[in-house]
Amino acid sequence: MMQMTMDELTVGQKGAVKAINAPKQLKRRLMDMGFTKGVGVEVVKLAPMGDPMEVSLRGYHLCLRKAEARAIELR
Amino acid sequence: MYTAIISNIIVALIILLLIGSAIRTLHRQSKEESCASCGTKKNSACKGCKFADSCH
Amino acid sequence: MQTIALIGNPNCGKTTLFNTLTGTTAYVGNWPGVTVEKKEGLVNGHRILDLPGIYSLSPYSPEEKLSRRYILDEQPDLIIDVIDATNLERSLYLTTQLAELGRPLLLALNMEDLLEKEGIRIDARRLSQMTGCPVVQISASKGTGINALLEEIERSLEQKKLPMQPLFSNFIERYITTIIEDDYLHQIPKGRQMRWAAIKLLEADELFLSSMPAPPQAFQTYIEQARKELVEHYDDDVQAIIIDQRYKVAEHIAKDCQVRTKKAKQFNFDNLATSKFGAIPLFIAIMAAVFYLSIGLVGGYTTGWLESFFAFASVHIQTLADAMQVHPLLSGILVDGIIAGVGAVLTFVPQLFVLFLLLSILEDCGYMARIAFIMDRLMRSMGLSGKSIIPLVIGTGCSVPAIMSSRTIEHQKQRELTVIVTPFIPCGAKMPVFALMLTYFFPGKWFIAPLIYLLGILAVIITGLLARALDKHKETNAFILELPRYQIPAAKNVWLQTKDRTLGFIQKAGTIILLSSVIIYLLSSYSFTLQAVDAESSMLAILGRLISPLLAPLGFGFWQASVALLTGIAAKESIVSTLSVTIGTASLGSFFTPDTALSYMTFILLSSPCIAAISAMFKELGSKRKLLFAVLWQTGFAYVAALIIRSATLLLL
Repeated sequence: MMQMTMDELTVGQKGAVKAINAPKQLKRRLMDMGFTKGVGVEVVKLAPMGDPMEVSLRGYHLCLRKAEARAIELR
Repeated sequence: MYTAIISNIIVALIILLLIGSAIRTLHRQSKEESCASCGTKKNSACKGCKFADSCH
Repeated sequence: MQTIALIGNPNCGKTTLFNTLTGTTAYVGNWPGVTVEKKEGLVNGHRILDLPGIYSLSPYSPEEKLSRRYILDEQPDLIIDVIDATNLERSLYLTTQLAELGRPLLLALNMEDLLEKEGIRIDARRLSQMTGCPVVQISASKGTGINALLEEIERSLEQKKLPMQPLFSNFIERYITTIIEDDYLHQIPKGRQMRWAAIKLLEADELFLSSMPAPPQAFQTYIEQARKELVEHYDDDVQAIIIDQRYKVAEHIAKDCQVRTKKAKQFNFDNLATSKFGAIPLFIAIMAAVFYLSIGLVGGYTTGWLESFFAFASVHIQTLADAMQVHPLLSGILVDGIIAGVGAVLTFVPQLFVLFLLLSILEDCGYMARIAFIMDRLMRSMGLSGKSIIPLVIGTGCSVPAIMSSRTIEHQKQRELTVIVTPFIPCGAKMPVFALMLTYFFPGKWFIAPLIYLLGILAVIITGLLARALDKHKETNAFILELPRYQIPAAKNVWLQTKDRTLGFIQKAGTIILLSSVIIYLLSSYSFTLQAVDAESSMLAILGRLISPLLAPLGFGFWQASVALLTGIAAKESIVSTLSVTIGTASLGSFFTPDTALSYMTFILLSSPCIAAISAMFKELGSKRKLLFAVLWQTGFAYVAALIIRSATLLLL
């Protein structure tokens, strides 16, 4: 199966984190915010100009750019 | 004649009082806010650092 | 005196709790060396310290480093971990790190009042059992549970009970146990816990490793072997494995302690606030409403009233002084210096109060994060970040807190650029100047005031685009921002912030403005031979004429305008007081014309800010060279813009 990253999700779609492919510091920050293996994420909406995106995970909402979302691999 | 002298003194005092309190306040503020300076000299701690006695 | 540290995630209600606990004893300062706010106060005779809001103790951001260093080195007698009860899992992630620091820990379960609406129930007793910490349910905004919290604080300070350590999977625990048993671990600095040190060793935490002597060869080999086995087993790096384990613990506790019931349906403002077509118009409308309410509505009435009050007062005091034969020098200082100068500035207090009030409501209600969210794309095309919008909005009140709030921007270049452009947004202190000029030269032309803001925004955009075009690297950076729940701001927070900012403005009127008014009056009434002379041949006029030729192309090459600009460096309101002392607000028309008034306003709008903002810029930029560049850029930009505006109006009028 092709690998999928979080920026490919459309609004309302859900996924589970498989891995984070990012430089150490960004990876650490994303994980601190709760993106750990297996956690469920859902894209809530996109900003008016299509980027950044709002996702919900662990019961709260977070926004991040598509560039960062691309680092989050889903399964 | 006397009223003129007294009123001059009163006005002068009011002005001095206002200027004095302005300078005092400014002086106190500059001491309180210059936290970055407390590292270098002893006894120069600003109010915040004294309160916390965490001057390094 | 015992010390308590207050810690928690951003947006967890920590500040509200701090304000509730400390009342009037709070003191706000800066941590030495960094521009991270340091807030302290007293509670029941104990010193309580508000640490910055953080998600983790991984020492990357200055806030995280500072919190970790504070707890490890200063050893507070108690840590109060404020937990957003509606966001238990992520809050507990921080708790798992705090528990390892070897200090007594007290969990304050905040937002108790929101739980029902969110459809969550929390078993506080179970949470206490699972963490080994006392747990108190509170609502900082409603003020409930505070007494119970105070009692628990006393009990915890007395008992000094340490929290339970979060346990990881057996595979990792094996290594941790072995490391703890090694003699090397006895060399850890005072106040550090063995378990914490062992985990930091496995993680290869640089801050910790640098505080330790070099380990013996055999031990070093063991650690490396352990790291290798961990990486192989989990197929990830060690730091990530530990984060993962911590979140597993947090998940486990949260799952056991909270029961989710049905979430109540509610109107979702967010659907409008971040909608595709409505978001940006709504933002503009909100900002327009803020200015209309403060400057238009409240300012429209109160400024006039206060002006006539001060005019009335000065006429009567002057008459009284003349009747009493007070020396003209003394009555002049009092009436034409102090009352004219300070009064001109104080007339703006009511509208600034409303402006500060509305801005602090905006800051506290959760909308700011949405503005950053919707504006990020746009701001990025200008070399800024979505988070840059927050300083720009706060900057309409005062540039100093605005510049400090640029701290949250991760990327250094974007942060510096934000610091440089924030003063382009007219702050509250520049408002008096514009109001004075506009009511005199353009009465009834309400549309000019918004144009001034637009010009400021334009300056931000042009600077941003230029900086982006000149930046060869075009590196991208992270933009990760929590979108907190919308909330009704706690009245106490809003009130404290508004009060502080308004009092700050009044205090400036009573200090800097008062002194500069007196000096300006004296300088403008005497010659260098200390003879009472006409203003035209006064010391001030001579000094002003030194720089006025430079400003002549802009149309205001007379000494009064130059001197006013100089005093504006101390505080922008000084421009108004200086003009009213040297020219008199009624006779502006004999010096300025509509086109020079516009160019004067443009120059004031864009040229370098007051000394307080300059020193805030210096702290954030961290280098004299960068500061010099910023100030020169701002002033140069202002000069060119004023020149263009004047030429354009001359052509059009």
